Amino acid sequence: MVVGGVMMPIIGGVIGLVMGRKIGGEGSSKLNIRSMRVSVVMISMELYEVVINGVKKEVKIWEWMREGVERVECGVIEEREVVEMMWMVVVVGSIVEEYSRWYMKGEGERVRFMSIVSIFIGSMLILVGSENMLQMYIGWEGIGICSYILISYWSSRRETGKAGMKAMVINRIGDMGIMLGIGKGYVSYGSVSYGVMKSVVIEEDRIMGIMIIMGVMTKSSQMGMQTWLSDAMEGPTPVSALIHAATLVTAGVYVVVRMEGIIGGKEIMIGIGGGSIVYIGMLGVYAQDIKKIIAYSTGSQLGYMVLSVGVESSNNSISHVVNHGMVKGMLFMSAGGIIHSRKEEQDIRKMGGGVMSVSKMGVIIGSMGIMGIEYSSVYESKEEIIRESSMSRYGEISSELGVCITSYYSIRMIKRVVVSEGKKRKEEEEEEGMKRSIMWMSIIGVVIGYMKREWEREEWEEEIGIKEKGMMIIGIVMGIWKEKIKERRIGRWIGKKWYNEVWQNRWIGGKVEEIGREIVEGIDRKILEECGRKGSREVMSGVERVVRRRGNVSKYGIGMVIGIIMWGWSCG
Amino acid sequence: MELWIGMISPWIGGIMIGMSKRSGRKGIISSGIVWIIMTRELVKRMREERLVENRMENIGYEIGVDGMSIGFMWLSSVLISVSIISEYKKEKGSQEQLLIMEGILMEVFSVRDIIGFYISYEGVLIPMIMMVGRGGSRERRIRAVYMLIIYTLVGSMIMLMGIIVMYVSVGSSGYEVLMNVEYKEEIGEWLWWSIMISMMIKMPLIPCHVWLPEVHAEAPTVGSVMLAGIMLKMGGYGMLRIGIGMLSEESVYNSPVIYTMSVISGIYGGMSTISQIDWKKIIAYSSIVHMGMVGVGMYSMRREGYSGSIMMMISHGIISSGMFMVVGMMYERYKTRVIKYYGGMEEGMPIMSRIMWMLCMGNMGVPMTSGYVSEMWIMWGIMSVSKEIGVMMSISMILTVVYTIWMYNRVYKGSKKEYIGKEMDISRREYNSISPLVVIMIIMGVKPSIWSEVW
Repeated sequence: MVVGGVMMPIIGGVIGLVMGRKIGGEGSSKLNIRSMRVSVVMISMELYEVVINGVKKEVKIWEWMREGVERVECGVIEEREVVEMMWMVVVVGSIVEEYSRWYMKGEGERVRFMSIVSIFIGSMLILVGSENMLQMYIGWEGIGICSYILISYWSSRRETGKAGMKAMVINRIGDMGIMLGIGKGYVSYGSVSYGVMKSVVIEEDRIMGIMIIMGVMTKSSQMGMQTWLSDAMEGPTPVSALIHAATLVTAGVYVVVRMEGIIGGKEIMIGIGGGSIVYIGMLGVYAQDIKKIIAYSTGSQLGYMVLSVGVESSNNSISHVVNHGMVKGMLFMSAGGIIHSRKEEQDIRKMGGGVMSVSKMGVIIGSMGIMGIEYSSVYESKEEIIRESSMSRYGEISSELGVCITSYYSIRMIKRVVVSEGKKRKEEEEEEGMKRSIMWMSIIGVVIGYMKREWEREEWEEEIGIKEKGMMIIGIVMGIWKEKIKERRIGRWIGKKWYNEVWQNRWIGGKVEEIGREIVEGIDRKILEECGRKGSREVMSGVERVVRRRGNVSKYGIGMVIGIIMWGWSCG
Repeated sequence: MELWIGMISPWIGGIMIGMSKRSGRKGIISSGIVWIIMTRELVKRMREERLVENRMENIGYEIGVDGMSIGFMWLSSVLISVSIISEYKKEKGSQEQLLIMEGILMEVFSVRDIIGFYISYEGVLIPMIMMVGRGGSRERRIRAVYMLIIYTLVGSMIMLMGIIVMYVSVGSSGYEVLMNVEYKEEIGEWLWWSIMISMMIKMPLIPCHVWLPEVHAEAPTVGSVMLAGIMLKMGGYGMLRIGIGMLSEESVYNSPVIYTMSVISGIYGGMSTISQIDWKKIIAYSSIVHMGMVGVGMYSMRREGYSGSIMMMISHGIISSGMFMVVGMMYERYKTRVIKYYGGMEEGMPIMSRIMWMLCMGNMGVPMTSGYVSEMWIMWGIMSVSKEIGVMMSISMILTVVYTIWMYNRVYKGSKKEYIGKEMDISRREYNSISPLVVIMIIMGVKPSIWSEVW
């Protein structure tokens, strides 16, 4: 059953790609949406089995490679966190596909779009269900490649190609980290399977941890590596909803959670996670593009998740991934609805006014959820993470600050988009399907926290941290009261995005290019010229001259052979 | 018997084409026979797991196929058939050269005698030179041929000395004998270097790489396919067979040299690829990077490393040949190889751009393509030797992605340039010639044990 659930999106996508010419855009959308729905049903049944009945099992379907004693067998492992995560991915995925059927109406190449979205979700499911690191890497690269295709979907726009390339290249650095991590794991534990590794571990491998964390930093866009995230907003909005909410960015966090107990370097995770809560959150404070605000908010929430893994409460991390994925997907879809209705306007300063619509409602619910207002589903997991992170002072401070920052930009966004008068412009009403999917998503996003509580059979804790409440209220008041924060130093720094791209471009990208050019011009081309143009001709003409002057080539040939043989004799 | 047919069939095909006026289907048939026989042999080996080579001593010198060479023989049969399909109904000369080359290549990989190896190893140069010298598009090709001759001949002269010394000091030139001999320290060291210099030039590792981009830039498409697909692999095969097989102690002793050169090849090659503008040179430099990985994997002296390096050679043969063929198709249409003049080709030629995209993914080493499997195994091999070298090799893998994606992006994405006139998607003949490579690439990624179980 679960195998069917995992394979269904990929099968749908591949059939869509192959048969695309016959069934056309609309047919392809229907096919992919249906295959996703089948997958949702299958994985929901599996969720019932695993979570309520407490079944644990492992399905192996295919032996990928054999090398020495190591057999890499692909399959699906069924544990609680795995199936929860899968369920989140397929639910968000199917709703996003439904949404994009309406959103992308009238765009060219819809066949490819829908099929690649399906394959994207399928790769994510492969990653989630993996039992060994190689299968994980299939999914890991699959989502990377699909995200490149989807981000640069509108390929005639120049920026999209660049944004896709940036995402691909920066993610590749992390991929190399994962590759090295797999190699190191194979060397130190003798296997690539999580189960075998966990059973033979004596000491957590710190170097492997550092390598894996490198992958997590890029995929989950942690501090310093977040530059691709905001650029990836060039893609269509459904893609943003999929990539930045439920699937791609959470892959990194998920991988560390799976490898807990194998890899070391927890304090690095605390440092990176706590840092990026504030570092990326502050970027959201100064951003004016609605999609970029939401993207930065994703980065800062991912910081919470990584921090939570660092303080050894990975359970909360997965809860936060699930809750946040639902809410953030809804937020992106609502933002897409607003953008669509205002004729591709993305600047929040030019928004506002008009009647209340479903997508504006979605923005309100989503922002409230992300802030972690009480009784919303994100509240549950965020509260837990903040409480757990108090074991390290640094983590505590940064997560408290993060609450303030999050509530500041969320409130600012609500105020700008919904409340303020703004320039009145005619707003088109959203498509029926878009409305429906936003509503479905908001219902699930609100309810999921309670459901998770129920199935985890945990007690309600009515304890409310005073500090978080205080920070949140500060943030809300600031958001309503003071929209523009002007501070000389920090403002300029953040306006330039912490000079992050500047130093990356100048010190890494620029240097590599410069060295490359110097190599080619200084060494390669010079030697090429010397050997190619002059050298070979001179050697040849020299040989020719000698032969012409003395004549009799055959004697020279025989002499050479005899000489070599004699010399060989003497050596031997 | 089958193998014998496989050895003799390209010669018969070549001679028959030479005698008749038009080539017709003779080339396709005779190379197809070889392909079928080799594939059968490969699959049979996987199933039976036999490691004994079947020798044929009735021909005068010893010929036999073992697990190490079957992969390369299979690779060369595939590439020759594919390039004959792409040359179908063109002039008969190139088909003839290809078939003769196939005949010689079968000998290179199957001969069990070091002097026979040397003869056929040099013999491949002759059709190669004819291919580049006759088929190239520019006047500069003569210079490129000079370079090819001088570089490879200098290397092989030194190797000839080494081979003679080996023969003289042991008294036999058969592989079985030479594999079980230990040399005195000075002689062994000297022998290793004399063999390795030739192989390094052929592979090529970095200080000896200069001839490769030059020759690639001047060669016709088929010549590039042969050069990247098989010529470079002969260097790798020789390293494996003679270097590690016969001079194993010296190889262990000297492995840091190869590590250094390979790592430099990877990083230096990657960086210089980024600043190339000629499409063919990009792919040529990218083969230097991949060959660097092969060197590291081979000299890690681990089972994973060997498997990875052989796999990498086969997969790189498939992938880079496919990329060269795509470049050739684009060159036929627009008569330029400078990347600056292309742009936004994805809309006009969707099928070709998808094929190129798949090949690019193979080049980058995405899982489920052959590139990934080999990179992973090389990584396993090298990480067990030293993690520093692993980290440095991974830098070159990052650079691989940078230039591959950049190349794809500049040609196929973005807005259309005014230099491009009418767009024409892939034709049936071109599709038939390139689609086997893509399919093989994916099969190799999905089921690598067909290739890796044979040795």
